[in-house]
Amino acid sequence: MSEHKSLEASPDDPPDCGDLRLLPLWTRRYAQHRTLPFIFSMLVFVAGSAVFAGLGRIIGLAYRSGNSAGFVAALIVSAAFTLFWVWLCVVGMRLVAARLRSRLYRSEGEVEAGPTDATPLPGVHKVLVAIPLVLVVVTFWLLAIRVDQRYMQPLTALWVVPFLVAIWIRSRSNVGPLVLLWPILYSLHAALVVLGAPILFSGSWEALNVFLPVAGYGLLAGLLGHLYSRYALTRIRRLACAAGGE
Amino acid sequence: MADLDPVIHQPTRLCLVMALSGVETADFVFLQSSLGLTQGNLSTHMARLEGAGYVEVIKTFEGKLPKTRYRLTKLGRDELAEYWRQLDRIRGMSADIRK
Repeated sequence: MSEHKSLEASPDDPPDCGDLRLLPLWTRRYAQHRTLPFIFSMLVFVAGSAVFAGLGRIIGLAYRSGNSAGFVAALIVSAAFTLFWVWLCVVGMRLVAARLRSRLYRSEGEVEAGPTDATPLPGVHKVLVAIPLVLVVVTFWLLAIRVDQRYMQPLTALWVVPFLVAIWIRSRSNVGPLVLLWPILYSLHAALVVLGAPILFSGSWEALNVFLPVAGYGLLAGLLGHLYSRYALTRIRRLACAAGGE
Repeated sequence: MADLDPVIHQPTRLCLVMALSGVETADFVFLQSSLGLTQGNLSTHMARLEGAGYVEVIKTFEGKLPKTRYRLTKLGRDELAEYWRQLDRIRGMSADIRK
């Protein structure tokens, strides 16, 4: 027994830091899954889409009922809201993004997984990327006129999924792979529609066939990312506590 | 044990360097809250790491509020990697002695 005792760890032995080697991994995972600003953006997108849908309905109602004043007023409001929406997407969200991130994570502080100053694409590359994207979108709208409305969501998947994957590839140093759940679920949804699964809305709710997969799966991916960041933060605190210190 | 870098071979500083090695930058609040340190404790250890050239301090302002972020330097990353190599060697020797 005394022989066993002498083989036990003594104060002179180097500390068992095996777990501490996981600290960089969990710190990185935490930094890559701080998705609250993304969830906020998606909710803004949902709210904006609801406003656009509402305004479209009002315009239609005013037109069909012959209410010229109401029709013109609704058009003016729609035009003004469209301008505001474009400003919000291009300028507004960028202005609030940093402030929003600070506020949402005030108690946890700031951490960046990778370089934040992404190398901007040279002008020529921007054109080379924009041209096929525009062609894809235009082709989509031309096809949409001829394609059965049931297949609108699978049709959008042809460009939405590669687009989302491309965005992730470009920002993968700062965004974890969990967000790829969005294009994966979008693709699965498209496959189910093509296979005839009874998951489609009809009538006046047809717009939800595209809107729900876009917003719903995006929000789901964001929410799971947020939950994962909570788990990662717990792991960081446990590892730091186990390592000891002053 | 005498070969181990004394700057890194301190539990709190080791945690700080390990946390910074996984990310590009981290600010004072994150390091304090996630590693459970007091303000004074963290400042003291970061000053030591900065003095050794292992950590770069980036001070900016957000409006009127000062923000302090830290980044592990190349020297810091190299020294951390060397620290683990030496520690593995020592643990290997300890295991051999026990046998």
